[in-house]
Amino acid sequence: MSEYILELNGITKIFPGVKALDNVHFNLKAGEIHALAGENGAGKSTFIKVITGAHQPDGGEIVLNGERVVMSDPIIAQERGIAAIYQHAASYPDLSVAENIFAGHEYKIGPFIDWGKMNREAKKLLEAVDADFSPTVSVGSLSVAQQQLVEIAKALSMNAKILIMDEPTAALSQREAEALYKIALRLRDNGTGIILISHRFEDIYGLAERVTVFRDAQYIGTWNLHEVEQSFLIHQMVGRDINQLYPKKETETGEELLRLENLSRTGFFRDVNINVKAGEIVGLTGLVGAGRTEVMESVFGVHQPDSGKIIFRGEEIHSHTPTQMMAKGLGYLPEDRQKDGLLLQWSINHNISLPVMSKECQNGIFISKSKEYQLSEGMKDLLAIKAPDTDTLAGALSGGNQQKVVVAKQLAANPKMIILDEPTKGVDVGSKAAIYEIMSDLASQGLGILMISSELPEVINMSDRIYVMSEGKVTAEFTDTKGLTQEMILNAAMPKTKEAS
Amino acid sequence: MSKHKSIYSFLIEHRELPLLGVLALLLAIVNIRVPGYLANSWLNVLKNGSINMVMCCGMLCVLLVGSIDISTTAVLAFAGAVAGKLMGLGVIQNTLLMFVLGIAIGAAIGAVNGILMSYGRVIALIVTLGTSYIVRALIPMNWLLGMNKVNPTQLTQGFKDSLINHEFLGLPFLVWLAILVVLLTALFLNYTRTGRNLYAVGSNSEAAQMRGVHLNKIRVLAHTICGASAGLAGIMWLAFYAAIEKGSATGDEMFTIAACVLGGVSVTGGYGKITGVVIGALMVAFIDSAIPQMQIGNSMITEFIKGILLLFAILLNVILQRISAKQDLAGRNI
Repeated sequence: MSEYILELNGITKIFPGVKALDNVHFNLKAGEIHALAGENGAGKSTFIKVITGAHQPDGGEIVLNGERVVMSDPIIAQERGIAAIYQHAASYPDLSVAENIFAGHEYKIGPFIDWGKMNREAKKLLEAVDADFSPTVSVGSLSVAQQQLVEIAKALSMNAKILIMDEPTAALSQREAEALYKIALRLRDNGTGIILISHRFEDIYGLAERVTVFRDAQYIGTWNLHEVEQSFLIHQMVGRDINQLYPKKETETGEELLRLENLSRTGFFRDVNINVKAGEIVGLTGLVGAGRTEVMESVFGVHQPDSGKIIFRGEEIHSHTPTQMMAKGLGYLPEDRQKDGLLLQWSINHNISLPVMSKECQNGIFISKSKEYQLSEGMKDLLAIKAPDTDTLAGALSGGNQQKVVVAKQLAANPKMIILDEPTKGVDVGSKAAIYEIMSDLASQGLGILMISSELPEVINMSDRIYVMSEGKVTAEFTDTKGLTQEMILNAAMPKTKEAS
Repeated sequence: MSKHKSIYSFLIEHRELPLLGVLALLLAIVNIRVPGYLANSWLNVLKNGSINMVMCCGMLCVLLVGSIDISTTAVLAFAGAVAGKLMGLGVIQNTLLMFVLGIAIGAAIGAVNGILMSYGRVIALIVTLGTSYIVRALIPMNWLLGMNKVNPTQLTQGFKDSLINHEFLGLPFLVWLAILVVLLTALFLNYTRTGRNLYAVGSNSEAAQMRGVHLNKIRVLAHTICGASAGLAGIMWLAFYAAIEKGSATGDEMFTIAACVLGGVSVTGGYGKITGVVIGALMVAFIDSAIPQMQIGNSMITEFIKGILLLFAILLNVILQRISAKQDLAGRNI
């Protein structure tokens, strides 16, 4: 019994109509990193919310240090030494870094907040996580990766005995992820028990000693990681074998679809030259914050560039809007699907038909319900979107399935070229393979695809050509991906000024 | 370079500061057209602006949690009328008790607003519109303490003198009371955990909930504070004008909201500083007093120009902030 600091036995959680957790088990030792794996929708996030007191289980028991406890409130879980770093940085964008770190356990003099001490202590914690920003800036002004560092500093500030990391590296570049690994290992060596949720097998094998797999809300098993192969784990998670994760087909490249000539936007990128041909998958990689997304947003007309040329399908583009670019045949799949890509209160059906509303789905001037359903049902089958029907609200879907709806939305408009910004971020391995398959199919049908990605294995294995950006500039182009290594890309992606060593 | 950059980043962190420039510009123009305006009128502006200033403090709390309250001036009139009627009936003769009563009445109505909008899940705009109609309609009813409005004769001399005829360092108590409320609000919002929770709830309610903040309690608290400030403003109004009736201060709640927005408070919640709100409230007070003195035309034209000026001030503020943000980006050297 006393071997474990945390045990969860037979936990069941029922939401109206859905069993989110069905009699699952989990245990954690002090000084151990225990990975929790499973596809999106397997119940991992719900499980974490049960541990942190955000959800109450409908059955089962939680045993903390040998004592049966009821986590009736997130505050109780915090007081008992449980801290969590969430997938989407759960921060207050308008408040300062120091405040975010100490939110809920501020330093005080009597009833009043001690800002001086809070900023000093925050500075120490930021140094511990190698962050180079001030504790007084507002979190909203930081990049996603920097916000994740704030989350980690927050977890450190709580002196947690049990730390939950829910997809902590999803928004991080390789280098930042490695910094995070070091912190996790240091905490483990100091006796903290860590629950790690990650879709990256690199994370799981690199850090954890044991792994527990959930599938479809059920407990599948727990294994020592040095005893099991990755393919075995994938099989346990998905319930079937995935033959080939990267189904890249060889395709003929056609005419040039997009050419950027010395494109610049003050403060974001400078002198960017990129081209994409029909039938090609072009990878655009670099560290988070290198300006990749900003370049493509300028191409799509979200922001206007300050100078340089955009030539799309032979036509020079000026003062354009996303609507115009969509009409010209360009699709864009944004990185933050919750914020930019989906209308969460709308059904799957309405989301998919939105971009083609004027063309495909009308009888005369009125929307045709049947044409709309025909389109969305077809997409649901094509992309294997897991939902009861197409009237399900997009907000009710898991992350991977939301991503599929965003892809479907772009495909419905029948584009000539699509830009995918981190298409597999936070997506489980089964859906990943499906998305790669779709990308490959589209390219072989003559679509040009530009994929922005920080995940180097996917960049190397899926791309025909690769551009690397660093600090707003294109620093390398690899035309042949055979024999290309992650180190070669990283070398081009590192900021030249700081990384002398 | 680094010096310039720090000035710009300072401006970005203090969204409300460009407004001081706008205020100075406005005062300069008025002073040229009406020589000696500032020297003659500053005290009156402060006096007239004090009541709005107090309500702005409450409104700031409500806006921070992402809510809104348009019942403030109705609460002002109601709290003032009930307290005034009680004084007229001889039930209350103590000046301090009047203030306590006003705050209590306002807080009670604010709490009802807060409970309906948070636990009842009705949008705040509709809730407070409803309560504002209800409490205003109650003011002239005879069954409510027998009189349909409050006249100077019903108030004790001590009460009527309390805010206007007592001075400290050349400023009447009315102004000092507003300053006190501002300082208390600043202390509460910046130096207490509960105060910071108002920001947290408005900034990212989901994150606040995961951290164990009780969203509904914080929202009710914000509305209660707003109601209390409006109740206090009601007693200040009664002491200043020595009269109150059903139509008192009708429509002025928009000046309260305008002052907050001018001061850089985000109407979607999470961002807003008391310093900005003070500057915004001063600005509104000056616009209110200066335009009629410029003698441009009849009262309709005056209202028209007031509206234009408010829009102009907000627009200029937004543009100045955008310029400083652009400069900050250029500082990245990309």
